[in-house]
Amino acid sequence: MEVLRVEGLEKSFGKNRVLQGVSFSLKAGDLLGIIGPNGSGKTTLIDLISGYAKPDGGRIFLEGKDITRLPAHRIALSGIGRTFQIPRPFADLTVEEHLFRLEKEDRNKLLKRVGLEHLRDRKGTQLSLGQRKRLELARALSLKPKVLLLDEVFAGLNPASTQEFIGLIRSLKEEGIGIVLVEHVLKALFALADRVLVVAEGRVIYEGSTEGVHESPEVRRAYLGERAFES
Amino acid sequence: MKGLSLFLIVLALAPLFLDAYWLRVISSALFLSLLAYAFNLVFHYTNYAPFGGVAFFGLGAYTFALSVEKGLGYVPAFSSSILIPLIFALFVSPVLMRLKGHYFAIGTLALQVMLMELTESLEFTGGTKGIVLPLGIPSLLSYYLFFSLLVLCVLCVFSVERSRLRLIYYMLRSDELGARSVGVNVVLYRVLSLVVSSVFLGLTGSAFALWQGYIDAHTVYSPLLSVKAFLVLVLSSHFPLSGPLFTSFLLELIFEALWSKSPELHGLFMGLALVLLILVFPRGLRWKS
Ligand SMILES: Nc1ncnc2c1ncn2[C@@H]1O[C@H](COP(=O)(O)OP(=O)(O)O)[C@@H](O)[C@H]1O
Ligand SMILES: [Mg+2]
Repeated sequence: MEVLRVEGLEKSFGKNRVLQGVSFSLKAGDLLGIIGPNGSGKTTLIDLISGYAKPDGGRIFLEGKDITRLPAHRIALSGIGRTFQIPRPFADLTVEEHLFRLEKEDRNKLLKRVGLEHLRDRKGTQLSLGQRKRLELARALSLKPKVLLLDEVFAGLNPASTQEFIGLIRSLKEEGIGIVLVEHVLKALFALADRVLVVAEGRVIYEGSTEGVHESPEVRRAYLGERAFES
Repeated sequence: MKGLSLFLIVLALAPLFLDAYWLRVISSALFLSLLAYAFNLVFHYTNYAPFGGVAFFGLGAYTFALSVEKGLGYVPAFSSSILIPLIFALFVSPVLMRLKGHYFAIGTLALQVMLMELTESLEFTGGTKGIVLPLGIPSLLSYYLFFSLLVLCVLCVFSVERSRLRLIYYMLRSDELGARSVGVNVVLYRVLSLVVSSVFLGLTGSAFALWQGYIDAHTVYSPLLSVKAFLVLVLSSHFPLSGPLFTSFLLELIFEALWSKSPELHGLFMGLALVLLILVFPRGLRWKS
């Protein structure tokens, strides 16, 4: 079942045409990996879907409902959770208070799931980067989302946490959450993705299987000079 | 919490033991704390500084005074002194609350200046002459009016601090984007805080008019009122429940002592206070908590 569909998204900042007609579709329980060079518009794409910025053209559908013009908080409540590239915990709230939308029992479960139950009374700002990423994921999950937009969650994680996060995200897929994963850590991305989208200069230059991406001449060209595919 | 309750009880009984002079001093302190609490509903919970928040106070004072002057009676006069600032707040806040940081502060200041000019130039507001209320009421009554308003403010802050609203406001004041990502309607909650604040300010305005028996535009739209109230808030930051009250009393006693000893020192103190305000703004002094 399709949960998210994006049609011809366009976005410019002044003369900078950041997205020039990006489309894709996402099924429940699927994970779409998005890669692309720095500045290719990946975060902007997430901002548009979650309503932080409004597209100049194109439309966004959640379970068939047009959400393009909804304000960000309404989009969140209707079932799209997101994380930020740089985690932004709430300064004055404890870890547990971040999950205020959940009942006590669900809160405990979620804290355990992301491995933060021993830090429940810490302030968000007293956490390490890895812990902040866990908190941010938990915060997005506290909305009980149908779609999860993850912006470089693996960046800066140590190998143990990376493995844990891979396991965690797999279990989210199994629950039927559709996930968009923007990621530079390609090992994690290839371990998780059902399909891959490669964007460069605001256009989709590849869409398909994880295996095919290595062979695509467009992708190789876009990444020329970057060492992304050599490891 | 205990200290606060005890202090409220002392305040409730205070008029039994005080002469007219001290009753006036304490009324001034109460009045200052009311402004501070009302401003803090916006300042503490949204991190926006309503520097020109006395606009709503002045509007309340004038609405009340004009209503009484027209012979409306006290109950309709009080009601309209809530209603008019509230409607005004609803009217301006969708724009005001979309302004960021300092622009918001300047926006409220603009309202204050605008209302002051308007009040002075219009005929029916008494122009620069102001309005004399037909009957002064006993100072004891206006003291208890201030006191009741104070209790209302404290209860309001108390219930916010005890509820989910506290979490929501702490989210949106520290990170607007993050708050929206968990479904918080940031603008709505900001508007709510301004509207509730304006209701308290309107009521405080009517109580002030009763207390003074006379108002003019320069008194009720005075920037000095904002400066004093923000001084209180900067000194009592992170203690939204009891801070404004205790700090107001402390400051008012200092003001009074200086004023009666030497008016020049009073001016100097206000100057220093202003410098302090600018230095530690916008986050206030950080006490260990
Ligand atoms: N709010 C903004 N205002 C102006 N330009 C922006 C804004 N956000 C992003 N950009 C520009 O859009 C381009 C894409 O940025 P971004 O989406 O962050 O790329 P990525 O996440 O793929 O690295 C960059 O050139 C960036 O400078
Ligand atoms: Mg990015």
